[in-house]
Amino acid sequence: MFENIRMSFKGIWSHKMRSFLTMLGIIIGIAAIIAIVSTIKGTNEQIKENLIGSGNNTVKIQLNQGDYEYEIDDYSGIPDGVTQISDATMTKIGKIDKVVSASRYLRRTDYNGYVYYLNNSLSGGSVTGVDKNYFETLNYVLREGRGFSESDYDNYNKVAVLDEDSVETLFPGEDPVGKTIEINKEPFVVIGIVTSGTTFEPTITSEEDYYTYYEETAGNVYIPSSDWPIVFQFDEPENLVIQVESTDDMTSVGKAAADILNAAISPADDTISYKAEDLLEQAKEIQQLSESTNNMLIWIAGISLLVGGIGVMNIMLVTVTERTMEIGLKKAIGAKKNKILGQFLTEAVVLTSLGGIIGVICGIALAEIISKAADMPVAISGPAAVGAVAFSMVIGIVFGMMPSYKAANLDPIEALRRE
Amino acid sequence: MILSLEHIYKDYVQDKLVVPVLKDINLSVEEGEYVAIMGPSGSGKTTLMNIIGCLDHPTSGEYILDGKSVLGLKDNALSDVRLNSIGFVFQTFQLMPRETALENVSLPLSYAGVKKSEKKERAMKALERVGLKERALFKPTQLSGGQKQRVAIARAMINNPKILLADEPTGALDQKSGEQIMKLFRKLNEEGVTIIMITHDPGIAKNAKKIYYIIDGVISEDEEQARTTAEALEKESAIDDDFLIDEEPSEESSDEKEVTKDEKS
Ligand SMILES: Nc1ncnc2c1ncn2[C@@H]1O[C@H](COP(=O)(O)OP(=O)(O)OP(=O)(O)O)[C@@H](O)[C@H]1O
Ligand SMILES: [Mg+2]
Repeated sequence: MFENIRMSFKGIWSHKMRSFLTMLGIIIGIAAIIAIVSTIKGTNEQIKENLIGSGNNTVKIQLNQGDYEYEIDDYSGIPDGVTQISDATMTKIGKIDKVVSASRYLRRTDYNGYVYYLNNSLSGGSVTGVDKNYFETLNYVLREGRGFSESDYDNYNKVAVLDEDSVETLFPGEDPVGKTIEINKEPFVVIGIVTSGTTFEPTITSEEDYYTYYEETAGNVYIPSSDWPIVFQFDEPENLVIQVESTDDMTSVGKAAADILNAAISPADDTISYKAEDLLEQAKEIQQLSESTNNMLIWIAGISLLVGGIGVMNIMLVTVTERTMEIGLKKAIGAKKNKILGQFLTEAVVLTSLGGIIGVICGIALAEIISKAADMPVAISGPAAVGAVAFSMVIGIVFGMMPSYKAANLDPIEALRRE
Repeated sequence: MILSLEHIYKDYVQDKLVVPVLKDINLSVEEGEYVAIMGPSGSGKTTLMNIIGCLDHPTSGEYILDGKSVLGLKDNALSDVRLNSIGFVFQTFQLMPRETALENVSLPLSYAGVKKSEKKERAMKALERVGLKERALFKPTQLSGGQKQRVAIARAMINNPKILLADEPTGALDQKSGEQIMKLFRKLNEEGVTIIMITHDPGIAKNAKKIYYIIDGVISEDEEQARTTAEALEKESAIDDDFLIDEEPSEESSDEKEVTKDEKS
């Protein structure tokens, strides 16, 4: 075997130009596939990252009414049978496998002009009442000032923390810390500014949201959850956000937590229930969209491989004819058919594998060029590279079989008589 | 007796015409014998050598090699016979042009499944036997004709076969190189190797202990007898040809054809 490989390299080396041209079909095919797969993978990873937030493995469980997030309306008040999330329920949720931390929060979108600083309104933004775990669970970091302290909760201090967007909206060109804003006519003192540890808070719930997430939002104003009834008069239903150990746990933990939450409420309106956002699922849907277009390209690259394989078969047939004397001699001195078959098959496989390896290298280079030139994300896939080389070996076996079989069955007498 | 051919016939069929090449060959060779086979070009020498070397099948007859009939053997079994019992030397050397002398010599060992380390050692010894140890790493293009043939002999002898078959081993060599090869053959024969050698050259044939003549597919130790038998058979087949003028012989003439076939088999 080793001997065969050594001989194959010798043979390939002695016909450098011819071998290279033969390999070219394989090289182009494999390079194209690697480049395409790398861009698919890069795009997919970016989609996943954008949608879910890399490293910020949080999953939200929101109270839904029908297909939409439940929003309280001040006239009908709290829906029947829906209580706030109890500490006992929180303990249960904390015990779900892979949960790092969990936090309750209340949120209202500011359609009504709740929040003002002088004449600046937070319209389109939202007010969020948070518990002590909230910023930690979402990996938010304090950029300025301080966060909420125990005493802020205990003493119902009217203090607020802003995110960067709401600073932009309410305090353009001003330092907000120490200033007083108005939330539903109550004065709150801004004590700090938080920024998301990752690029944005994942509030995406649909494909459309994904495409619009770059657009500016008015921002968020956070207050201690204990202040909520003072501002909004209701002990309205809470939502939950959970940080899990890894992205892959998001779906299962989200479902388990939603089940626990639903068990704790008995809403009169049976369209009301807790639902975990399944961002992973949504990411997959978008990924599939981009994959199906690229799969077409892979088929086209596959045709190049087929043509390359036929080229290998052709050149192997030429080689067999050229080396008729050698084959005849080898058979005369005692080589069995299988040995001859093995020798030529090895040569074909070495040829295509070499093409495959060069193809993978060219493909990676091509992917890097695409990423630089077209500003597209690429991610080199190890398994794809190994698979490509393995596949090129298979091409060698498939297309080398016929010429090798021909060599093995050559009549040694005729082979030796040929001058 | 190391090999014996009994009533060997070989026909080639060309354009539906049967061309007899070997006619009733009877040949026995004792172990350790040194036999030369002479004859004009086209008389069937190479054809006979191919049959002795288990490369070709006769049309009919029996061939006993080393006490066993070889004609019924399958391809792989015949490969083993060639690998272990027979060494081949050709007029045009037939060396792998890109491999060194050492690699050429060790080629049959890879088919015999010999270990790598042992392979090199044995190939080196074989080269030493033909006096080319210091040329081990030369490629065929860097060797003279005589040296190339000695490498080929080393390759033929590497598995210590009992029989060495040589088809015009000196045909492509000058006289001096030819004599060197003959010296080597004598040495091998003295060591007990049975040699069967084909040659045109009476001077070369003299080296053998026994000379056979093939004329038109007929073999004999006596050149004259071979010629007269061949001529007699030629006349006979000329009569056959009269009957075979039609490509598809009629019912009557097919009887005559049967007779000649019976004679042969
Ligand atoms: N495959 C074949 N088909 C038809 N006829 C063949 C074939 N091989 C050989 N012959 C014929 O058989 C006869 C004997 O050929 P062979 O090669 O045995 O002669 P030779 O005695 O070795 O001649 P030379 O001394 O020139 O090598 C020739 O007439 C040749 O034309
Ligand atoms: Mg001949």
